[in-house]
Order: sequence, then C-alpha cells, then structure tokens
Amino acid sequence: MTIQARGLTKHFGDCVAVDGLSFDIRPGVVTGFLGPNGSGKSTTMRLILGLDHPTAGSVTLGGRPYRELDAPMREVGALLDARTLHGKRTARQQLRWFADAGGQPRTRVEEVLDDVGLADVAGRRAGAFSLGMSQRLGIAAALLGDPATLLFDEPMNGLDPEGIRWVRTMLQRFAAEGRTVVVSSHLMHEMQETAEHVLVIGRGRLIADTSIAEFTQRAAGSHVRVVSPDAGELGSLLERAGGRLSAGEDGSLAVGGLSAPAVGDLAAEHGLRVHELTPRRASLESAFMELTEDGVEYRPQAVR
Amino acid sequence: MTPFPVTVRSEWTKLVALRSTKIQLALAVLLGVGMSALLAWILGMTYDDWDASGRRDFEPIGASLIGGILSTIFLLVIGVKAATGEYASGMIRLTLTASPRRRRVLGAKAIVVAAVMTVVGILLTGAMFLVSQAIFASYGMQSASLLDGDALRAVAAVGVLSAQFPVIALALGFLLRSTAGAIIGVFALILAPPFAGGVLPAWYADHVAMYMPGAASDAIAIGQLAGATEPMLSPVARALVVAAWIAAFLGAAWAVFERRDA
Repeated sequence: MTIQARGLTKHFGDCVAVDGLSFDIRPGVVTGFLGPNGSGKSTTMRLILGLDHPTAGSVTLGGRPYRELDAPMREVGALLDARTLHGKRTARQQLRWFADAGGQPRTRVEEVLDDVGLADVAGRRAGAFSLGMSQRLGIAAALLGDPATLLFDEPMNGLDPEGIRWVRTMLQRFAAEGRTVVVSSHLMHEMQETAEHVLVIGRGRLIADTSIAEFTQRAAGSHVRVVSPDAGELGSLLERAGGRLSAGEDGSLAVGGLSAPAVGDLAAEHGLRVHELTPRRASLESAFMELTEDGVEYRPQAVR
Repeated sequence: MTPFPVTVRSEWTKLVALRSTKIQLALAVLLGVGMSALLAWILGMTYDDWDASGRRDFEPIGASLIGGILSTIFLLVIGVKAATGEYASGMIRLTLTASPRRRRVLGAKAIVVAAVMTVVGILLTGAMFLVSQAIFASYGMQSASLLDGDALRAVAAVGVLSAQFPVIALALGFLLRSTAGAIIGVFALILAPPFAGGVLPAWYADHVAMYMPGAASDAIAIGQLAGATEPMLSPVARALVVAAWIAAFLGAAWAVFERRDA
C-alpha cells in the first residue's frame, strides 16, 4: 500500500508544522523519516493516521484517507508515543481492548505478546514498565492486526542495543515481505543501518527524498584521508588528477573527488610513500546536518 | 468495515477492566444504600416526636430514595473519566487509530456508560428502597411495597434516570477534555437550575424551570407521587425533555470531537 502525500500542510495557530509535503512511500523497503525534533515528523504521522486534520493538501493510503479504511487495524499498525498505552491497566488488558476495537481475535493478543517477548510480564501494570518494555508493548499493539503498513515513530527510543537490533531486523523482515514500512528517527546512525530510503524533513519541508546510499554520497564530506611524508609532491599530483585538497589538523591530507584506490595507484606510479590511506564516507549525521542547516528550529518553543 | 458492536465491545472492555471503575461503582452502591438507611433510621428515631400532620404527609417512597445523591457523584466521575482519561493518557490516539470513525467511538462510549449506569442505578435504587422500607416498618411507620404501582414506577424511573447525568458528563468530558472542568460543569448543570429558581423572578419558575434537566427527571421519577406538588409537564413531555438534553450534549460533543485534532 503506497502512502501518498500531496501538498500536505498543517498549521497550529501561527506555527507552520508541516509545509506543503509531497511524497510517495512505497512498499517493499524500509523508509526512514528523518528530521530534528520539531521538524514535523510526528505531525506528519498523525496526519497520515487521520488524528490531525490537514490545513491544506491530503494524504492517502492506497488511495484512501485513513478515516475511510475498511479495517484500519489490518491495514496500518502504528506506534506513536510509547507512553500512550499506559495507565492502570495490565499489558494484557491494554492489548485486549485494542484488539476488540480493531475486531481482532483475543488469541492475537497472546501471539503478539510472545512476538515482542512480553508474555511473562503481560499480567503486570503497563504503568510500571520501563521505556524499553513500553516500546515493546506499543509494537505489540501495532502488530495486532498483522498490518500491511507499519508506521513507527521513534521505535528505538529507550531500547538497549539488543532491542534495537530486534526492531531493525523486524522492520527489514516486514519490508522484505512486501509491506510498507515507515520509521522515523533522529538516531541517524541507526537509520543508516535500518532504512533503504529516506525522507528528510526540516521545518516541515521536504529536504530530500532519496536512497540512503545516494543521500550519504551526495553529501559533501566524503573524502580519502592520506598520510604521506611526500605530501607536497603527492598533493600537486592529486590536484592535477582532479582531487580537491584540504589539510587535516595532523598534517594529513583530505582528498575529495577521488577514490582511495585512485589515490594509491597514483602514488605508486610516481614512487611516493603513503603511510595511511583511509576512505571516509560522510555519515548520515553530517549529510543531514548540512542539508538541514536552515531547517533546524532552534527556538525553544519548537513546533510540535 | 469494522462493525459498530465491535467498537461497543472494546469500550466495554476498556471501562470494566479498570479496577477504579469497579471500586467506584461499589462505593456508589454502598454509600447510597448506607445513606438511605441512615436517613430512614433518623426518621424512625424521631418518629415519636412527629405531629399528626407530619405523620399523615409522610411519603415513604420519596424518603427512601434521597440517599442516592451521594452515589451520583461517583457515577458522574466514571462518565467524565471515560472521556477525559483518554486525553490525559494519550490513549485517545490509539482509540482513534483502531476506530477512525469518531461518531462511532462517541456513540459506543455513550451506550456503554448508559448501560452500566442503568443497571447499577436500578440495583442501587432497588436496594435503597428495600432497606429503607424495612427500617420504616420496624419503627411502625407507614411503608411501601415494590408491588405497589407507584413504588415500582418510582424505583424503575429513578434507576433508569441514573444514566442521564453520567452520559451528559461523558459529553462534557469530550467537550472540555479536563476531568476537573467537566465535573464542575455537570455539577453546575445539576445545581444551578434550583439555585436560579430561588433568585430569579417567578416567571423563571413558571416557564423555564421545568425544562431544566434535573427538574424534568425528578418530576418523572417522583412527581406523580401522592403529596407531591402538581407536576407542570406530562410524564411523556418530561421524558422528551430529558432525551433532548442528552441529545444536545452528545451532539455538541460529536461536532467538536469530529473536527478536533486528537
């Protein structure tokens, strides 16, 4: 099921939270939704789920707005804020009313409790759960209807490394099964290992809609670090070969525009000594920081 | 499409799974019955001092049901919390992702609250009546039997009408999204009309007061009893007034709920 936004806009009073977003999220890959806090990620998720009403534009799932889906729980599983399941109810009670609401059999409750590893604590009050356990409970709720689309807002929050690996593997498995998987995060390192495609938003605007590989490559900052006692001679050779040079703090060279093998071969051809040759790929973080330099909302009264 | 009974079932599960709901319902019944018994006992203890006209005018049915006022408070809070509790915890977002058609959510909640309150209200009213009549009889006072038509009608009407203000409280909860605000609101609705009757010109008492929600339901329940002042509206008209108030509050709640961001 494709999620399609067209000119999606949401104002809260004078504050523009989402500003003319247009995108298509396709099934079969994990799509990362990236943006700093207050960039409009969560608002966009709430708009997709029909919880908030757009000021302008529209967003549809398989061509229909969320509110018109026949069996929403079988079509979309959402994890919004892990704390929303909390209260005085036990984990099992929480899932029971939710299963009832979505027309899912009670047997699914025990299945998803097993799936997320909460079967042993299902009789405990969810209010006493750690953040990691709350996340697992929220994920269990999202899985109840075995949905074709998964929409996870910051699912890795509060999880330990083992839990993060678990979520990542699960999301990738769902995508491989042909489902539509959207995951938002500001843990960009994690996103790099989880998502195949990214939508980057800052201040409610779409900044990039591209594959992770392209996103990191396109970003400036990918370079080859070269340490050589013949740096002067090598440097001029590299410049003639089309490299962009800058000096590192420790006397190394940062060479942009040339691959590590190309730099090594060039040095060897001219008999120059190379002590270190390291390809440095720009991290998602640095790519992101560069793209959103104007997009970050620093004011403390940040947008929801 | 997810059928409506499914939404009703989930609202039922949500409400009765809470221990606080069960505790409040139990307290409502215990306090109502206890209060009625206490009032009946005080009446019985002082019966010897009553003059002849006081004894003649004593009306055992109405006197046995006054204690229910305390119970009302607990029932109202359950109605309010069925709405505001979801906003406080953020659970409303889960509810609406599972059931995105909001009118159904509101309707299902109203049905569940009304059903629970009607059943509890009938049990409570029946228990208050039986306990009080037993106490009246033991003091040699005039007492009534449930087999008596007036008594049965009064008990049934007061019982069923226990649902009126909790459902209005639910609607106010959706409108205000604040537990304290909605509780204050519904108390204002119950208490303001009689108060207004005391300070406003007689025109209010003659032409408006009987259309107020509390006045209309009191009249249905006990207006027909011997000794009560002549009611100004027929029982059917009063039932319609009660229904119109409930519909007005639920309608307002729906209009706001439908448009608002969750």
